[in-house]
Amino acid sequence: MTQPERPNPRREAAWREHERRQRRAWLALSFRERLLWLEQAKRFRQLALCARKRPVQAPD
Amino acid sequence: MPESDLERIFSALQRARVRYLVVGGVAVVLHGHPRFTADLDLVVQLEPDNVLAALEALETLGYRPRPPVPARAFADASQRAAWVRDQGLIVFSLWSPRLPTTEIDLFAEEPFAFDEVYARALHVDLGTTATTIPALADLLVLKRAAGRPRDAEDVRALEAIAAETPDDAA
Repeated sequence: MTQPERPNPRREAAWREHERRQRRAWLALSFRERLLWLEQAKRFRQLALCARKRPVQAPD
Repeated sequence: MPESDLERIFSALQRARVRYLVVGGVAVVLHGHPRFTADLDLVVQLEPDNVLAALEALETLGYRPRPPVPARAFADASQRAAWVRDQGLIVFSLWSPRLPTTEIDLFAEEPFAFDEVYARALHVDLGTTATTIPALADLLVLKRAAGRPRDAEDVRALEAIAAETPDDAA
């Protein structure tokens, strides 16, 4: 049985700092940039769904 | 740059002078948390004229009800109350063959005191158009009340944003 990983305060603090940096970068975007990100994510998801439905082409 | 689906919807609602608030995932994204959502949740003030104006504006973009009922029935308060009571309706869903990836959900009941929340709402300037979202504190109240796992995740993210932007969260 594997031992549960011990909490590592330095690593957790590093993750929190990483999340804070990401959050600040996002808050620096304009409203329109945030909206366009969402629209792009939707298009990307749609493309991924279409690709999944398309059968993989068999080699000649 | 061409208008996105959401901007086209906001423009149509703005032209028709509809009183509404964007809630749900799109409001979360606009407040600054990047997370995916495919639909647009709207709280339209449920005055008959305002609801009709919203439905007509959305109709110009091809939106029609998911359920097999006329769109105008949603403007009728007694009809809405019956759907809520008898069928447990929470949102009235609309879809458009022209904007197929953006389904719209209209709340069947106002989930908050509309005028109060609207008075505190954030005007979101998108350049060519604009929209309105609840203030961060009001969105947090709505999200905490909803209580689904995704809402709990949104609450955690919005609280972190509120801690960084205390003016918006007041």
